[in-house]
Amino acid sequence: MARSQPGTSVIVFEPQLCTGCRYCEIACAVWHCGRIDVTRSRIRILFDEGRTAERYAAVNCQHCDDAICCAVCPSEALQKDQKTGWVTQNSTKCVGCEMCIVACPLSVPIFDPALKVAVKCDFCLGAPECVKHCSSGALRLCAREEAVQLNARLYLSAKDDR
Amino acid sequence: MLLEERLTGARRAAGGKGKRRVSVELDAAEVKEAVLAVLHGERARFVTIVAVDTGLDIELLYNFSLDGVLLTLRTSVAKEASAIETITPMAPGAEFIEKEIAELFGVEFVGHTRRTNLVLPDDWPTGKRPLRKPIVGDVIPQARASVENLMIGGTSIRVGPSSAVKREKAGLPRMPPLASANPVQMQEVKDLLIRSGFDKRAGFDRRTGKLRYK
Repeated sequence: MARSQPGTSVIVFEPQLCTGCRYCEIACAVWHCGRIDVTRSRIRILFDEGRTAERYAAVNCQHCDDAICCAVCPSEALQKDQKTGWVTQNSTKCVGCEMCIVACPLSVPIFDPALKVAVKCDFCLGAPECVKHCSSGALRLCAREEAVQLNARLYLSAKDDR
Repeated sequence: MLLEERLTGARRAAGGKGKRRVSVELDAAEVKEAVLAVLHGERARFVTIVAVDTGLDIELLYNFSLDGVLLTLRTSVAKEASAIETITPMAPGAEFIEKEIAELFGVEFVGHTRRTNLVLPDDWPTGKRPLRKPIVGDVIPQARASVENLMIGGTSIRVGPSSAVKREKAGLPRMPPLASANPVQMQEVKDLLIRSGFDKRAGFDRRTGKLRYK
């Protein structure tokens, strides 16, 4: 499987900083669709009422090494770019089978009924709008190596909370 | 408060209820500098902008979170020429809020780069703003002429020279000198009205000498 070259960056989410304003969803929808329609946003903010702290969780593409969405895509519409580290999708190749949505551990891709294809985060070609508009700093760019450590720590602490 | 020291026009405003709310009033021209000052440290973050149609003006409330304290910068723009500088270079998150206010209230954010509609349909008429009310003040129609007289001459009823002629023709004695004939006294009344903010509340435009609404 294709792996990212060293030095590529990814978007990380720090739940303790998120205020749930959902500007990231708006920014994403406006960038990709030109409208404030958060149902078409590539990033989703989930709200857990049962928790007293860190109530919000972002569902966004991790641009995985060994991306399973690329592996299951029958039309090879999803590709991992080793140089940038991004998992990109070619809408003209996509047949709308939704296999990527099923296979992704976070169900990141969404099916766009208007285009009749699956769509996902394209990293806004290098300057993610969600990160730019996040005033609390909950979303930020960081090196892939650091992101792996950070996510491991976050998910392990979330496991302890249960 | 550092803002009040830094900006001459800034003053602490009422309305910030509780220990965790602070409200500061500013002139529209000072907002950009104030936002720069607030966001200078890493402690502050932009929350949102709220627009309120107050009848005569559009009030804009710029909200920031500063270590858990909600700081509100309050400013107003006149409806006749509602324009204010954009804060998107300092706070990118304000981009959509400013555009929404521009579309719904007709406030122009100078320097805002987005031209296409975000909230309204693309074919929406330019001059029609869904949340903008007509310019209207507190003075009832019957009292508007009196208010204009009061602000121009210092008296609600102006007595012209024709009254003296009419009295003379009717064989009445001459009028005693009216207080309104004394320009010094009338100027004092006008100054008091301005100092108490009556002209602003009534919506009187000192430049044109008329109320801002019919």
